[in-house]
Amino acid sequence: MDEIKRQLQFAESRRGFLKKASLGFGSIALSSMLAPSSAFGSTLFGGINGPNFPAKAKRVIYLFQSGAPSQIETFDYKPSLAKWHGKEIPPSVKGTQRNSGMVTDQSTFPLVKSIFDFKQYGQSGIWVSELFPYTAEVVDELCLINSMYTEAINHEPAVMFLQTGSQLSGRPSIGSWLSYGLGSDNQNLPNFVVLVSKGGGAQPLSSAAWGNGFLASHHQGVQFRSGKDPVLYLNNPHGVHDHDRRRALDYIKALNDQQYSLWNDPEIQSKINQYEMAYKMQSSVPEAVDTKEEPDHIYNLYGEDARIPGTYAANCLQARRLAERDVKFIQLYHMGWDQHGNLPGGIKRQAKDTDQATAGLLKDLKQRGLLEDTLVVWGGEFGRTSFSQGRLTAENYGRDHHPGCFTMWMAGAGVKKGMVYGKTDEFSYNVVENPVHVHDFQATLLHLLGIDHERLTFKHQGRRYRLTDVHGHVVKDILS
Amino acid sequence: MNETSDFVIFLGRFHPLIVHLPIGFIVLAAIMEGLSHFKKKKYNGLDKAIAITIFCGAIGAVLSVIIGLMLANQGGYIEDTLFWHQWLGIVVALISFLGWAVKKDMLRIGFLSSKKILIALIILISIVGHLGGNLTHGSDYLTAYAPGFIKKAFGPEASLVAIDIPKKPDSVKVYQHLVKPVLDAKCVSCHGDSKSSGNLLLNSQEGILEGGDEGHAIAIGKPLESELFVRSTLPQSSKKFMPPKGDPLTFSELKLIEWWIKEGASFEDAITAYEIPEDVKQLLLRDFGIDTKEKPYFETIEVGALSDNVLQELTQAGWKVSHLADGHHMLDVNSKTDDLSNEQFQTLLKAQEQITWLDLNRTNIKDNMLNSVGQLTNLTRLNLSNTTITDAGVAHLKPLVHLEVLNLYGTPITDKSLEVIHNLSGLKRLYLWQTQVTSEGVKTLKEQLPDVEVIGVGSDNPETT
Repeated sequence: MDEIKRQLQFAESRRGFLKKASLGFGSIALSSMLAPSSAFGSTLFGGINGPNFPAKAKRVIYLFQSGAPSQIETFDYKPSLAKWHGKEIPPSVKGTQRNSGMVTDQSTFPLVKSIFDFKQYGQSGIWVSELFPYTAEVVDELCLINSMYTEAINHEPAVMFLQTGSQLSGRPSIGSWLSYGLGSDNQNLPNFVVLVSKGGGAQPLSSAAWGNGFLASHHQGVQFRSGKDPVLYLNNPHGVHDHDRRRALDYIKALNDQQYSLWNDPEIQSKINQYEMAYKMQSSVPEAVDTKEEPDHIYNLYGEDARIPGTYAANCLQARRLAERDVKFIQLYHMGWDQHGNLPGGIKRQAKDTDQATAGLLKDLKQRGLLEDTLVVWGGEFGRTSFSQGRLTAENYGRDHHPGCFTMWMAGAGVKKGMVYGKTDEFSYNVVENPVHVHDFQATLLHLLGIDHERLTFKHQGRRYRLTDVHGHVVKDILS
Repeated sequence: MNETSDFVIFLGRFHPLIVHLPIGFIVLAAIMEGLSHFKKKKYNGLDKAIAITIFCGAIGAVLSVIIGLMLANQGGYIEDTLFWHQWLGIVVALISFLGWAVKKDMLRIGFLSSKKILIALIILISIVGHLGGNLTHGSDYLTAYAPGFIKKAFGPEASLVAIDIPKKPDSVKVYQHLVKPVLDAKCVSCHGDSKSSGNLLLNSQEGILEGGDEGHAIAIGKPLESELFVRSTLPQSSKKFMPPKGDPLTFSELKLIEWWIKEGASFEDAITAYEIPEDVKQLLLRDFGIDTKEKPYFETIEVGALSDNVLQELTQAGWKVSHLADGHHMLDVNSKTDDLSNEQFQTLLKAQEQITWLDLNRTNIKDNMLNSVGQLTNLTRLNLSNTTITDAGVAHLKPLVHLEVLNLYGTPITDKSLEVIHNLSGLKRLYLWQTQVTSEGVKTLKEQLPDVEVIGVGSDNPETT
């Protein structure tokens, strides 16, 4: 025990000497005054000190459509599928691409056209499905990427891949990387907030998708629940006064500081941060999530669902309120897009639950000037097959998982408006133009926030890790 | 000049081969001369051999000169260099004969010895050889891959060619910075002052416009009728292909010349005067580092860094200050408090040039405080939404001509503010949701600032209360 302590002390004094020699006390003091959290990141953990270049976006609202909405029924308009409807998918199209185990036993793979009609909208004339009448109204704000593709074929690894850059869980998520790299713009709220729609779907959603991985644990996403207690155990227990709570926290902090000086464990710092954040959140969170003051015309905009806590619409409204309060990364999850069978009915329900609120959020952000520096992302974890899973009837069919192509869109800060990027073949099965890999998407997202994805690294277990691993190219063509 | 027959050129092309004969002989003669000088006893019988070797060298030199003249007929060489190479080559031949005569004792001139002559020959051959090398491979052949200090000392031509191209797109002239260097490097040696093949001069504007014997060098607006472009894009085996010697024009160079001719072949215009096609944009960025993407104003200017003391002062005054990026001098400033004071705004002026984003959303800012804000000369984004500022406050913003985004949503301003705002010539987006501004007011503003996007007023916004 004493031996370990001696070693730690030696390491600490050596580190301290080097730090003083290279930076000087003055610069540490100043940098921590200018931008407290990012400086904290930079001196303690080796993050970057502010963006690498001026950022277009200061915050992100990521509307994750978990379960994977079909691109064919939503944004990737394929009139050519009509003449192939019911016919077998040509082997030259199907190729050797991976299919899930759920359809490998199928003897036939009949192609299916979208049962929903498409129309062109806006000045950009982008084709949008009748499923999304509200989103269609704001299509001139969107930058559709029809050529997304991923490597994973099942939900959990595919969600992990999009959110953390690795199919295996345990890596830091996008929001954690941003918290680590850019620090906080609001000391009273977490950097990274997660809102999950109530009800969910058939697929479980694991909290590792907003985990901090090997980054310090105060970078992990904080989930706000719906209802009276958005964050559990945040309120003082009955009979405990705020004053007492503060005193207790001060003593705990003093003890933790002592422990930190002895063991030099960054997790102790995280603990101190979390206690302080929780204390601040006791007043900041109830204020942030209190939607009572929102006028009726706002509920008209997001849809009446927004009055019911925990719905996607309510979460969208919540997301705007958090964006106004400078939360850096606001992650929504809406589940239930996994239409293996009964696709027409299922996807209609899903669209009805989300369409108006999604469009309402964009309009609301725009009129407040927030779209100026907020990036909104919409999309699932992969696409769906152009052939039917299960039996194809006149009004019913299903579609299986399809990593080969899917649609995502971005809107707001730094991306072109009213643009369609990338192209799939006439079956919406393979990407034929401007493919965008998940790592490319992540590199682009970081770029919009002023970060060079190759420079935001964290050394862990002997190697430096990035969100984009060793891949990823910024999709420059979609930058405004 | 008469058309040189192909056979003459065919022979001429053996020049680089033949020249090595006299070089070899003369070097061998010099080695033997050296040996017999330093080790007289061992090598005293070499004199006769030396004489024969020098003689062979002389004959070889004459042969080289004759074949060299044939090659020179083909044309396309840099006149200056060719002149010296040719005449020094002839001198080498003459001196070789002189050396032979002296060695054979047929000629006695007091101060001349065969040793001195051979030393002179070696020096001469080195110079002639170097000039010849420059003619064949180009003058930067030797130094192109040399270490930096050698390049600096011996590569004067290279530094002449490299023109400093400004990084700001609006100061890059299409002709001066992009087209002229290509012509100078690849055309002017034949179509310039020292030589004007086909009566075409490509080293002056007049010459380019006048054209040559075979027609117009450029037909304005029509690259495909411009000899300059057409001849450089012919198959390289064609007799009409230009340039006949040296590196052909690269893809980027041809693209730029095509674009320049298409846009009117002006000698003055900057690249920003034209619409730049996407592919030209890409090669400008790749080959010249010129980023033609429209940039926000703060990226186009340079201001000095603020001292740490000033930054500290701002922070202590209650402002949240951050640099736009690591190493960037411009500042993003905001406040989240609702007890802003006039004194605080005075401290902002210490960063008068550096503040380019200012966010005062939901603060208690008063009209008179905007007086200081109006003096932040490089402000590009200003957010005053959800405050109580009125038209009187907006009046202070008149000097902010670089402002690109102004957010006034949720303030009690009226159409009167628009009379100030129409002076903001740099404005791109204006947020007016939940203000007293009317559609008519916006219509008038649009007449003065047609490019500004107004958000939150009028029929395009059904959500207005």
